[in-house]
Amino acid sequence: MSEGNGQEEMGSIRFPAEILSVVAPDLSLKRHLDLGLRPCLRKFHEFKNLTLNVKSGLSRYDGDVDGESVTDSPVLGSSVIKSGNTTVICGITGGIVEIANVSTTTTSDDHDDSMEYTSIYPVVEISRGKLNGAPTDEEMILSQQLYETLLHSKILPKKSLIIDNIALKTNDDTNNNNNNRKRYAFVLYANIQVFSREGPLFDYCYGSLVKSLQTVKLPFIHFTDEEFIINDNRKNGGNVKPEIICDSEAYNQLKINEENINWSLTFGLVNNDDGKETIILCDLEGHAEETCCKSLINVIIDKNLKMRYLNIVGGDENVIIDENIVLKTVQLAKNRVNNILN
Amino acid sequence: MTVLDIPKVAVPGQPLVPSFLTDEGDSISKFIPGQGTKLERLLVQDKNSKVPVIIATILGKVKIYERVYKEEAEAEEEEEEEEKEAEGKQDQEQEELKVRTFIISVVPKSSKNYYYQDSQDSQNLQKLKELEIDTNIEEVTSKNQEDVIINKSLSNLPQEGDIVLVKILKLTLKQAFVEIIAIENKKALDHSARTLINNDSAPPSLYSSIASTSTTILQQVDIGENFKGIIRSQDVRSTDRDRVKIIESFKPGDIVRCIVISLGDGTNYYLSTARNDLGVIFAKSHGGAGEIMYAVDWKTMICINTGEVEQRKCAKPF
Amino acid sequence: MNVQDRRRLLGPANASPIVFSDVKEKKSKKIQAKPDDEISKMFINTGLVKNCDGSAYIEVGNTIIQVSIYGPRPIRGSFIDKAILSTECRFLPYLSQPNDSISRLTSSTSLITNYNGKLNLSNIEQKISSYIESCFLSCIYLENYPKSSIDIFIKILSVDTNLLNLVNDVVHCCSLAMVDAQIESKDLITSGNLRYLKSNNHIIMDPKCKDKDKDITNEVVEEGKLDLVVSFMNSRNDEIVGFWCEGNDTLEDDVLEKLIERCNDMSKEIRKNINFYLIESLE
Repeated sequence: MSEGNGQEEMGSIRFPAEILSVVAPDLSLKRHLDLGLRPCLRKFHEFKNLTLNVKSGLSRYDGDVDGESVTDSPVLGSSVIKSGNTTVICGITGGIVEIANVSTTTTSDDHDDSMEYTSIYPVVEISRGKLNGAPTDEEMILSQQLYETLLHSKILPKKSLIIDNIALKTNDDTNNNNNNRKRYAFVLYANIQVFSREGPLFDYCYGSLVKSLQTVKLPFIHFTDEEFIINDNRKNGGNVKPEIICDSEAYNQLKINEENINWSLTFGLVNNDDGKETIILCDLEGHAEETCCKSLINVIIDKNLKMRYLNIVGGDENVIIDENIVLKTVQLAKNRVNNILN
Repeated sequence: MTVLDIPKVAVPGQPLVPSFLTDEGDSISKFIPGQGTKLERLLVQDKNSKVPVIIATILGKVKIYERVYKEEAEAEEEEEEEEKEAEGKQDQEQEELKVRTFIISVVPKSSKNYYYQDSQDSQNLQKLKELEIDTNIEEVTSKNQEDVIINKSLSNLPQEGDIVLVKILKLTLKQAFVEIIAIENKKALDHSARTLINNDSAPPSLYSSIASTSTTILQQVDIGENFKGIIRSQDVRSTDRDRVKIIESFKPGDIVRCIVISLGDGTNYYLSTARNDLGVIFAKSHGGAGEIMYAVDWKTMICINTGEVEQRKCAKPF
Repeated sequence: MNVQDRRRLLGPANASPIVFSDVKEKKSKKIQAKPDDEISKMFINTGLVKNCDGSAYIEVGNTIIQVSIYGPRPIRGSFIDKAILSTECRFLPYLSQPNDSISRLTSSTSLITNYNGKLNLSNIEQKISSYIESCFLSCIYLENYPKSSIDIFIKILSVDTNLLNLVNDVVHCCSLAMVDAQIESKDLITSGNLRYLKSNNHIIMDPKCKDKDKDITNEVVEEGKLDLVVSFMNSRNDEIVGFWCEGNDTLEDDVLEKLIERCNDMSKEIRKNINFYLIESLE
């Protein structure tokens, strides 16, 4: 408080809130907290408004009723998340890759459980006036985090991507020996566009990725001849008709592990100078909050409101993180996830 | 009066008024483009000749101010007028006509445009207040004020004579390198707010803006970074200028109030603090690690809690 | 695809693209046929994106465009007394771009497996960028912004029309974003877009139809057809700031004159609407 009064004594130099948050973010934050508010004028535990849209019209099958209005878009699943001013658009596309023949047949007990699951290859693009070129650190870190989080969430079983609905367009039945045939699987790519970057981006990106994944539909495929060779475009110099063709209409819903659907939430921790009391802030927003909250808690909660992941970053030496704080944070997260997912 | 034909709101490109208007009566109205307007020559209905017309260049409300000359200014202005009249197509003998001069400007609605200095005691504020008043015609009495309204283009770029708030980034023996955060009475350069958190990960930045600018050296094109400036040692104060030591005037992280003295070179504006009301207004001891300090005289700051005393070139806080 | 790109997660290099068989032509695709002399409705909004100096969003049918303007912001290097204008137009990577088949014929890669690996601007993106840039170069008071650059970023979020019709919408979106960014301009640019069918001397205003690939590659030689976008500064004595014409037939002077006139009419109509929106937004 002494600082606050002191500033008043300085007399005529006063700033509106927007400038103060740039000049002295810590001071701006502290003054708001003293009033029981945050610089973004939300309450401490108030989340930003969140809207989810999975029928965004981006996907091939979005307008689909009985295969009637399939578009020619290559997008297999998509979603749009809006939170406050921030908009996140996620579109999932796919590719086909040849896999080793044995991978699914072995079910020995000693193999690593995580081998059963796979992830998606995400690229995050944050729109902030950067001319083309290398992605920023933030974009790279987010992409990598998304990849790993999804992998370890065990949402996407490898099995569901394996192609077994091949309709053979061959009249040669003698060669119909499964062991000799190459096997194929889908790989999934995600493109995530972020507009009006603000707040805990990882939460929004992860949310949009999971939501999109739930809408993914995999097309039926068939081969154009009996050779079953995937053309390697790079070697052949392009312009070669590929030998795997996907049906334009027929599809399967991607089978994902619904039980493991989860949601990420990031909280900021600050201390109120008076009583060394730690305050939990939901959905950090704005310059003052993003620069001053150095202590963060990231929680991932699944559909059944079980905690799956907890990460505490203690960046601020003044913030005391005790059991109560952690439990309170987890409780906040559970309530929120209950609202979002159920 | 003819002035009433002028639209109340304007979109870019909209013609507002020709630069001269004759009333049915005996007076000529002369219009001068102010903020958010430009004088252009456009074809009018008859499609034969181009006529000087004032157009809006931005979206906003149209404000008109009448310029009333002070006694002494009148004579010289009158001469200027004659010259301009001659250029224009008005052939009236203006000696016998009453010429009223108006300044016309377009003021944006600007939910985004917040003015940084809103305390009553600023001298600059008087001028701004004029803009705030909603009546369509304002009288501008002093010649000085007219300059303000005319010369400031609407852009949020720093211009010569602007008072700016800067953050000290880096010191050398001869000069301090700064980043311009805001311009008084103009839109805050909100680039800073979105770019201080430049290149770090999704969780909020652990770097201060200082750290982020050091990364900008690596990142060749950064995202909307702020305009940069230099305070040379001879521009720190007006007296005893050759004995200024930069290190005793500023420290990295300080917030300093400066005046723009030159557009400078391609990268840097040249700034000065050689005035009583200019200098450090916000600083923390120990190079940012300590607590907030307050000015006790023009070259000393003290931390109230720890008693730490450091040297700065302070702005007079009152 | 791109093995060298270690900054993005692009997945296995040996993956091949998903190629769909052709979507069957729907017998009764319920297109609300717009009369040929009408301009389609559009939804416009400004200032949605916060971390830029000005932004606009436009939705016409299923076409969605978003424009952000950054600037004036500092440049590096030597002193310049005028602002630099730059434009970058990007489609969302997985969108199929109009006239894609042409650029595909000329570019080396035929099929894209992972759309995320697409880094450079495509031919279409480049053409749109440079059209917008040349329109706005003549419109902005660049001398008001020394030592700075003004960057226009166009994101095409969804596209359901032909190339020139898209360009038409992009122009309007950029104009709105310019106004939102409060960059001083000589005028607000609007444009008109027509399709001229030579055989029956018919003009379609604001044609919304999507071009089939084969139309462009001339596998099926159609009757003479011309697409035209003309951009104007309507408050400034209808000065023309941009002109783009594509088609497979010649253009006679008298027809050209008529087409430009019709474009101007359309441009004025749109200008009225945009003016109305802007003035509303002031209140």
